[in-house]
Amino acid sequence: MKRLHIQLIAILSGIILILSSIGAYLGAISYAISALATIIIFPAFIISIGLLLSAGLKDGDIPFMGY
Amino acid sequence: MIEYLLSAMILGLLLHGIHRKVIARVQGRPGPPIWQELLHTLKFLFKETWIPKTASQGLYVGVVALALAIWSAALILLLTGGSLLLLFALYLIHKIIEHGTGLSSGSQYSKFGAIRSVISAASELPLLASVALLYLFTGSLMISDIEAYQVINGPLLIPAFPAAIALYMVILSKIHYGPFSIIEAKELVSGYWTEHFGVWRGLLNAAFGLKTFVLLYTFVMVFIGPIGLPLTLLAILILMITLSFVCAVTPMLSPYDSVSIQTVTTGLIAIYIIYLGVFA
Amino acid sequence: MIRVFDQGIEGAGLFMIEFGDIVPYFSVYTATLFTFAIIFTLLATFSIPEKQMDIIFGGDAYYAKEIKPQDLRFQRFVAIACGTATLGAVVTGDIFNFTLFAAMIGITNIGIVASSRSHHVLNAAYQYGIVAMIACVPLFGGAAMILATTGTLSIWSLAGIGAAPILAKILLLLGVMGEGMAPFYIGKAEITRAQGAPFILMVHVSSLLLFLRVVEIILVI
Repeated sequence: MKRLHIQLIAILSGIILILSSIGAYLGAISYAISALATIIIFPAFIISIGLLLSAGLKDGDIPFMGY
Repeated sequence: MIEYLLSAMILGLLLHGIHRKVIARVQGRPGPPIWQELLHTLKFLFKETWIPKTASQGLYVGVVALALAIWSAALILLLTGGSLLLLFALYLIHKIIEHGTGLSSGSQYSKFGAIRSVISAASELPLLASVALLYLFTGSLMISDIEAYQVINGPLLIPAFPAAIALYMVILSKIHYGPFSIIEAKELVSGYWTEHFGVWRGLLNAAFGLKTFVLLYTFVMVFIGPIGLPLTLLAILILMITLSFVCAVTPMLSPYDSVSIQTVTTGLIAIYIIYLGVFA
Repeated sequence: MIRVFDQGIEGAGLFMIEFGDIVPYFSVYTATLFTFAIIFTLLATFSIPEKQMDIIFGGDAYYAKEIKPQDLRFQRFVAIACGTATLGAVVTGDIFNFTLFAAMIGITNIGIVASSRSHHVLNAAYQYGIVAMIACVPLFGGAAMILATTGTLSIWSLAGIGAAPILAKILLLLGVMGEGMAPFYIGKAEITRAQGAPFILMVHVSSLLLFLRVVEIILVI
């Protein structure tokens, strides 16, 4: 997957997670729906964060080929 | 919701660190700092990551997502006072995840870990015995009902002591470096998760941190009752330290011994349950 | 939310589907099992199997076994059938349907194991088949005993009245264990030699979910 897609997934899922949490506190959405959304989206959020962290921005070192 | 999950995950990883520290001190070593497991997890997240060519790709990634999902579901279940039977179900699905993690890569080491995970299915039996015994006492499997029962009748730890031992055994069988952790024994490199590296390893580590927290929290909730957050955390910490002591002074059992000890424990508790059900 | 059957066993009832007198129900518990059955069925449907690493004795060499797609067609089909049977078993509201689905899970499990070409695995499949066949007797026997004592097999009518004899419950549990649970899974240690991780995993998923469901049924009726 492209870095942009992963970034998009991370941001979107993060926003949904925070909104569902706030919504449950304010009583705007029911606790059950908020919990369900959290359980489903949390893995996507955290995996995309992990992949973003691991994706290097610059090329790797040239491996040592011997003198 | 997310704030509970993240804090439970961090606390769980800290507990893992404390676990390593206590084991090291008991064995006369300085040991790593207690936030080592946290750093460890973060370190893995920054490593280069891909999916091995031989792996079953969907399963390889799917198990990581599922491991995170089931333990977040378990935590939310505990917070909302859901059914203990459902927690048992999630715990069993964790077994499938261990198995899938081992089988998905095609490596011999992880496959061995997966096979050991199947034969150590005996470690689920004490949990079932524990759930059954609790049902006999409280007449309900909802955690909220069990808590309400304890508010009226005092902690279940004393009357349902065999069930507490069973759950303790279950937690012990899932903890790292324990006598029953045959599925990640060093003769298999890292056992079932040998081939999960980089981000996958880090996230599995995070999920297992969450798992440790959830299992210890269940123990406190079900056997000691609602005692407020600071005391609950203290009880979790004490429980973890006792587990670390057990892990520090016991060698890892061979697969057959591990399975027979777990089965015998379940058998004894089953006899106690039958005794309670028939005579008491 | 209202607890299903007024019992503190499986949490809130969500909804039910009425097929005439057959009423599958989704409580928090059965819906969770259903979700996991769907997830693992989808994994079996869409993921490619792993390539096993084989070591050549007497040297450092190893190679990855190649698997042709047509070799896996049957295994994938049976794995999906097994997943579908599991879906039925975890939500059905009728003990007879439950036993039928359980027997079907047993049969498809044999199919998953038997679709391998290895001699050892086929041997294991044969033994596994015998155990699963024998286990059908207590399975249907338990259901028959419940029908004979109470006159109904609907979980809706049986729930909470405690009319089902304890022996019938034990037979039902034994039957389900024989269809795939420990300690009857002679074949399972050998099937892990077979390739196709997502399909092999289906054997375990189905038997564990079936076991979880039978525990719920035994507690409810």
